[in-house]
Amino acid sequence: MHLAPSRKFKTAVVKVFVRADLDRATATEVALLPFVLRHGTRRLPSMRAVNRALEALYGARLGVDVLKLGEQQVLSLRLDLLGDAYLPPGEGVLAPALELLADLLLDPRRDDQGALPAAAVAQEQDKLRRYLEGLIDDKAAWASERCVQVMCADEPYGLSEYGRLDDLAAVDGARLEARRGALLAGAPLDVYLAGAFDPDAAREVVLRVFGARLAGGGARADQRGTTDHPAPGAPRAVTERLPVKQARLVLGLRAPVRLADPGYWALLLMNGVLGGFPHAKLFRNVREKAGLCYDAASTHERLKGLVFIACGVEAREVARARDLCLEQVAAIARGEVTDEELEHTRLAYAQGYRQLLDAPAQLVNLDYIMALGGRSGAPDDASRAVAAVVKDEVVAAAAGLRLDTTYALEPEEQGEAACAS
Amino acid sequence: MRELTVRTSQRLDEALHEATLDDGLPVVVVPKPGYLKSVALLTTRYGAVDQAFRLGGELRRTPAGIAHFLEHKLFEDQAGDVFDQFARVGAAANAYTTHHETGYYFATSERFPECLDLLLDFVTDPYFTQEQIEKERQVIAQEIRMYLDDPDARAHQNLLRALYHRHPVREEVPGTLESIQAIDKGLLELCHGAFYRPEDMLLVVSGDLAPQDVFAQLEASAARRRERRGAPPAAGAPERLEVDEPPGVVEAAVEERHPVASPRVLVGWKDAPAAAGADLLRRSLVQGLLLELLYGRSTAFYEAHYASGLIDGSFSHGWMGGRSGYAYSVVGGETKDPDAFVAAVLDRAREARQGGLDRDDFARMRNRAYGSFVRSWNSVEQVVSQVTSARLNGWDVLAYVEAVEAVGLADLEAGLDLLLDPARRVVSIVRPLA
Repeated sequence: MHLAPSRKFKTAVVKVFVRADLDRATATEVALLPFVLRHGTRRLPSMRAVNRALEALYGARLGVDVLKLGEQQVLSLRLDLLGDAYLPPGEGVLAPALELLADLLLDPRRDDQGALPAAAVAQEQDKLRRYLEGLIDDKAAWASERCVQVMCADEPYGLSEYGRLDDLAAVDGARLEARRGALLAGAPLDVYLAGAFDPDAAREVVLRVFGARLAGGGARADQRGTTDHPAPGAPRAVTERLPVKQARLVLGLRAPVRLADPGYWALLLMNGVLGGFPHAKLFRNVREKAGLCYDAASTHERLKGLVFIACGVEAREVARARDLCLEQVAAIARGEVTDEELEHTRLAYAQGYRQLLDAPAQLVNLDYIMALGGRSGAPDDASRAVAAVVKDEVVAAAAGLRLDTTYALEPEEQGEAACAS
Repeated sequence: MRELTVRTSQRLDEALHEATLDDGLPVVVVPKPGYLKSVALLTTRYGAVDQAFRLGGELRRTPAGIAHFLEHKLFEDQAGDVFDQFARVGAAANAYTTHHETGYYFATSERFPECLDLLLDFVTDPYFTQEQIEKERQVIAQEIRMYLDDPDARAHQNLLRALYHRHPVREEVPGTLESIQAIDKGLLELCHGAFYRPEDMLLVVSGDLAPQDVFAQLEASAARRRERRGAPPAAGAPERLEVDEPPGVVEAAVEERHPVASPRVLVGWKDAPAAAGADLLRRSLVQGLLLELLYGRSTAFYEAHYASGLIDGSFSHGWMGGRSGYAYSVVGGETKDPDAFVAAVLDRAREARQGGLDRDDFARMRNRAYGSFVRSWNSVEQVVSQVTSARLNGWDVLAYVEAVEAVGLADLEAGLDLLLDPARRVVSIVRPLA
């Protein structure tokens, strides 16, 4: 149980996380589970009954999802509530909302055989199937997903947190209920509360509804966690074609540095200098100076140690954009980082961390993720760590990057794509 | 400084400090004690719909996308890239263009006064070079292409083109690959002079700030800006043209094919124009609550069609209205069967007319609306965006709760007329490639 009460908010956020290894054999079941749980509890035996109960609690909002953190799959339930202090006198939503949240996870609606209801499973199977099939509809996200699939084809990271289309049809209510049981066995369940709530009252309710299932952070002895990079091979280049108007380019790079490693903060800063902000090299040089792209940015996956560069570009400029993006990495590795670039990036991260204190839900996420690397999630600790990084370490972080996969999604023909309209 | 007022809401435990600077710029400060982040949003009443206007008696027709182009270009000033200047203090800045306004904002937890000066300086002092304009044209072309590959953006754009004959809301905010070719230095300067006059703009700031300090700083910097800029342009205020838009739609159905797995469908209804002010708020509440009551997540409709797979998590609805005189309701999302989707949506509206609306449902919807309004005061970003939107649209943000309470079930019953009128309905579908 992690409680962070604050008087400056009018609402409270409650988050519950349950973590499993991302594994081909179980990924699809874990992905489906939170969405099926939303279909009701023993006491509120339908999705509509749950939604009506939420509305009556002054529009409490329930969100369920599944996250990919490194090579672990995390089931996440979230509730946003008005602070009891902002309700008409005598009314309170914290206790009933926590009870509802616990029921969704621990006492879901089941059929006579004790399985999760077949109708709910069938609906969510259909939704998840369409979601997976529809990933291709968002071209930027699709290109990124394909790059990961190609790059990590033989690693758990190559799996989507939403599982595999091929495995979906075989899932049923009994298997899903067994999966729920297996997930909760050993009870590594983290409950976070942040924002407007009374900590004494909250502690009492959380203990009552989640009780012995609570555990605090840390890794479980029987979980695999995130695997190491495979032995380096020759860089791959894959081009796929669709009738699109704009090419999407994604470069996947590997870093020998993960969240728990000493070089973590230098790699974070390196990514910031490269493409984390509008003052970064990718935005300045690929967008502003060369006018090649509207979006050009890099992202850093901290648990596995990956850096992705992505941009949208005219089809005939793909090669030029690729070279120019890689040149930004090479420039950092050659030491071409000005004091100004480094300082601006440091400031941007420090401010970002500080500002999390105004955003309870994000603060909770940071705390949970950092704990996976055995690190503090306190914004001040993160800011101090960023302040201590020196330029040579940033240069070394860029030098340690290895290009693994170049993925391009290109129009079917050069020039104007044959897209019916 | 003129007209300093402080208005408070006991229910929300919030205060609005409002004043108008000597140069005419209205300013609102919303103190949020204990917050580490401060934000400022500077907007001007100039958006994608303001293509044609009269300035100094002369009729001007400008290319689609010019307001958005201008927004991009203001991020460059004589001292270089504006992003860099904000980065120097660790602040994050950005901007957006809508049909009715252009907004520029920053968020920072340090050196707020410096950032505030920078914001006002870069937005009010344009610096254009032909070379930089050419470069920006390429960047914006890529932005436009990105939207061309976005099936949801296509479905919405096609809907607007089928709903409106002449109203410029039918044009894309960033313009088209063709229209942006005609934008040059002279046009950008003309539009900046016409639409970035302090009295047409609004500054809203929020954070752990003392209002008197903010106002004092703004007065001092306004004097500096006036000196630098000299007299305001002689042409005076631009005059917006009335749009002669008929009540009916252009065509009842539009379709496009796209490389997607899942079809999307939007059902839109063209509403009568709403006047800026309390009418706009009231109409948005009535139609918003009605749609929630018919199609929201706690309805039998949602439950049944989520179960049958006709709708999924992408299902959404809303009423969009702007002070330039467009207004429409829209319901849509991804679906496996667009035709069955449309039939289900229309059936629900007909059934509500026959069976009436439920009083308990209505009470729950109002609780929900109240909850989401209170929630929005949690984040300084949402505070500035909410206060700005209310002010630009001419209604009082502190009167919101009362406006919600003033809506009755009979208003919703009357609002249903719109959803039952086939002459005002358009269906826009994006289907997978054959």
